[in-house]
Amino acid sequence: MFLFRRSRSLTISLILLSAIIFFGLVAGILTDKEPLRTGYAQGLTPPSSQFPMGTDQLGRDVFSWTLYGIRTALFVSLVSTSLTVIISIIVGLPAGYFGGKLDQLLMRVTDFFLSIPRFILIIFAVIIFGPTLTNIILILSVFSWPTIARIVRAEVLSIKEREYVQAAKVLGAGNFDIMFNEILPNVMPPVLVASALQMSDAILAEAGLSFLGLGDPNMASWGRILAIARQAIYVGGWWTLVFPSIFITVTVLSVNLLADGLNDIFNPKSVR
Amino acid sequence: MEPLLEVEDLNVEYVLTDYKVNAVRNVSFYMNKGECIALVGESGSGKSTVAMAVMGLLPPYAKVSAKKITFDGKDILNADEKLMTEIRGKDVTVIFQDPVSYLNPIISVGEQIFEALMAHNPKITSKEAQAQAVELLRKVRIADPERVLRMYPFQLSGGMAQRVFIAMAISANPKLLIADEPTTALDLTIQSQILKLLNNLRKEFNLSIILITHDLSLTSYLADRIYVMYNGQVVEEDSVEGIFSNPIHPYTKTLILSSQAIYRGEVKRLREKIATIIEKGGNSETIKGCDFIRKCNNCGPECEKEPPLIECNGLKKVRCWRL
Amino acid sequence: MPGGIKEYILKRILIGLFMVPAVIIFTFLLLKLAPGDPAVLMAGETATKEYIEMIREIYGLNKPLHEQLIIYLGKLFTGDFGYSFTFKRPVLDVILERVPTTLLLAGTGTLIAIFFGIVLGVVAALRKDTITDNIISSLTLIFYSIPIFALAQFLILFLVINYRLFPLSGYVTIGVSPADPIKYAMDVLWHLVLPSISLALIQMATYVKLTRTSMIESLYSNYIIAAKARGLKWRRILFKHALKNALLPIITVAGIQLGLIIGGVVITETIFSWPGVGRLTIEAIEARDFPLLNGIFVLTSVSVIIANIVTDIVYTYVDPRVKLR
Repeated sequence: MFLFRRSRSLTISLILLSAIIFFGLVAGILTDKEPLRTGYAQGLTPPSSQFPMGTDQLGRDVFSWTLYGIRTALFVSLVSTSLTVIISIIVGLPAGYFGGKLDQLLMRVTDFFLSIPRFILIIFAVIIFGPTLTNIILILSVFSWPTIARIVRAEVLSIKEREYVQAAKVLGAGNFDIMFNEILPNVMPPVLVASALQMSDAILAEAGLSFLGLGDPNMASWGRILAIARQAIYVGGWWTLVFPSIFITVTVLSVNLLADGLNDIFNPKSVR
Repeated sequence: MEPLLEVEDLNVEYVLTDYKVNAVRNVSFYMNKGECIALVGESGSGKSTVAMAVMGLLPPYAKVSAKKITFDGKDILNADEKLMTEIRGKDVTVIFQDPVSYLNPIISVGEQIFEALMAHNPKITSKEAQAQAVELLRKVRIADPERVLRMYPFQLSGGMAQRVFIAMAISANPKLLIADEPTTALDLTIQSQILKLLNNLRKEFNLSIILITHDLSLTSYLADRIYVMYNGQVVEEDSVEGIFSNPIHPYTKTLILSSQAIYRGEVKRLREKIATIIEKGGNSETIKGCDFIRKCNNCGPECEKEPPLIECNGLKKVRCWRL
Repeated sequence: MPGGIKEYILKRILIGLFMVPAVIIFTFLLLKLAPGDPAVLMAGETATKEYIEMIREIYGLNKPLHEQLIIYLGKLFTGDFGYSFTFKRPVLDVILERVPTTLLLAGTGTLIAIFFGIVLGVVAALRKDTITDNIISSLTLIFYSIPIFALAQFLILFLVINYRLFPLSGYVTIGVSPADPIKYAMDVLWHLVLPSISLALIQMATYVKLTRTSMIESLYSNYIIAAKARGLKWRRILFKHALKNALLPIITVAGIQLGLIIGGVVITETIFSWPGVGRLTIEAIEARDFPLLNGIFVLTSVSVIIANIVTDIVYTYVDPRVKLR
């Protein structure tokens, strides 16, 4: 396979991600049980043909939870990362291109966000504004854009001076034209790599919040069942820990591999 | 008198995952004590590779083979790493192009010189090392050596750095110095200073030198004999006078013309003259026969077969059938 | 020359000091955005009416925003971080009490991560593209992807529940006191093992990857070839030349990491019931104790800012190219 030779990471990640997305999409078909509904069984039960991954102390089906958890993780991370990228581009592109006060302001803001502990800030914000899905997505986006915006700006600075941009200028293209048609497409590769990393961060952040009880209570999040696992493993309920852990690790792993793979493609000469 | 260094039929092949490159093919040369020989050729001719191969400093994906390589009577082709480490720095030393990048940027000059001194003289005290270092720097005509010892490589100019390098190279009184493009990265005025320095050191210590360069004009000052290299092979070898007064191989002729023309500012005339010797052609890949088939005006049917080095009169050997 | 460094350090500290009030003002504004009566937020939902009114008075919550800010800043300046209604003590006291335990955990975890990270990175670099290298790289990638709350629980599952090798929670076993210092120290260490390993494993990947890349770049540099050509012994070249250069970026990264592992610290302390500031944060969250949360946030931010300044200064001293600009 041609892709495999170009980048091992990319191939593996795409295979894994397709599998995960597939399972997430067909969750409804693979199981008839609702993920967060209690009472399917009398408390903790081990894996069986009826409950392939067992149930938790309140009789919730772990299999269903794990599968629907894919949707939560991917949805939250995809949406928040997309928002982050959009904001980063809106801010970073003009900042790098026009320079001046806007650029200075951007640098101060990113410096600021880099010096404060992000996780506690996120926790703080979630408590203040309430743990709902929308809030969590917005908060994650708002506290992630400075890093990506910085990358956008750096790329713009280096691309700005290249010949095809100068050529476009000479031909009379307006600033916005140049920014979106010449510069933006060339900024995207490193931004995509950074976004992939951002996505895996977002999955872990959302799971972390849910673990601490700060997730949206209506969402089947892996973090939350892993919090339940804390009690469950004492009384032998290892399945509440093992299965969701495998799923979240594989998901985060494949997104990280995606980032590696994209990097392989865009920077073939970098040290591996 | 036995030669100091003898290399017979050296081959170096770079073996990478996707392809192989034959960097050096059937190269043989020798040098006597006190001599200076020059390996001259353009980049990619394999001249640096030859020197690095002899020193055992090539990367692991380089496969070196030869009929024999002896230094000072010892076989170094099959020598183990222990023996090579002993020889390096003590009997044979190397100076490189762009000396600043060949020095460790975060360690002071003095420390690096001390380290070189201690490597070959483990019992030296720091006081002695300091004194010797200062003495070495004076020998290479550096003013205010104490101050230079405290500096870091990035603070040195190219010329100074090269002097420091030379100082380290001669610190253990080596028998052979390999100078790989020592002046290429330096200004013209500094170039002649460094060459003069090398010449003085040569006379003072009876030092043998292998000069590797693409600039033929440098060789007339230092070298006794010249090996002209092209595409991994020696195409002509002779004494310095023999090369300059009677160049036979087409490549040698173009080298002489280019070095003359640059000094006389006659680049336009040069182009015309080269055109009479060599037709414009693409680069050779793996063509059968003489490398210059497509580039030489003087070729004939026998050139389809690769010519060996053929002896002419005196020291001269040329890789050509049409002599 | 020395004047150059001093100026740089001064400049760096000033920028940092500027960040601190920025952070404080930021939290202040954030709190103001919270829905509900700010006085109730600060007094706690179970407070009496009189208490709520008192809070309103003290913090001037009826006054215009900029006046509130000045009052707030003034209080912080005098060390008054507010009053925690859950603990019924000043916020600053509550937090400072737990700082040493957190430092013990975070410090140990980071040191383990850096040490083993460097060792594995160097090994991977030296054995580049061999099976060893691939194994190390794969393992670190996996550990980088596991969430810390999963990893920690696996450790607990195997080492505490199944094999009873380590204690589950807390800092010290009941009954062991500082009166017997050696026994106390050993006990604390025993409790420290699992949480610090959890923290370390998560961070290690970053250090392994960084060291490996850095070391490979270093090993293929010109000055290494030159050192070899001088006849220096390989061991010496490795440690004195290659490694020294390769380790420079680690200083910078370590500084950045300090800010990033805070989330991990919070979670680890929660899982292992380690009585540090992280666990305190969770307790504050559950009780919705805003003054306490605010104090934690401000203090953590300030610590991270200071840590970054220190790292920058250390780096300036270590790299002569920066020092002697």
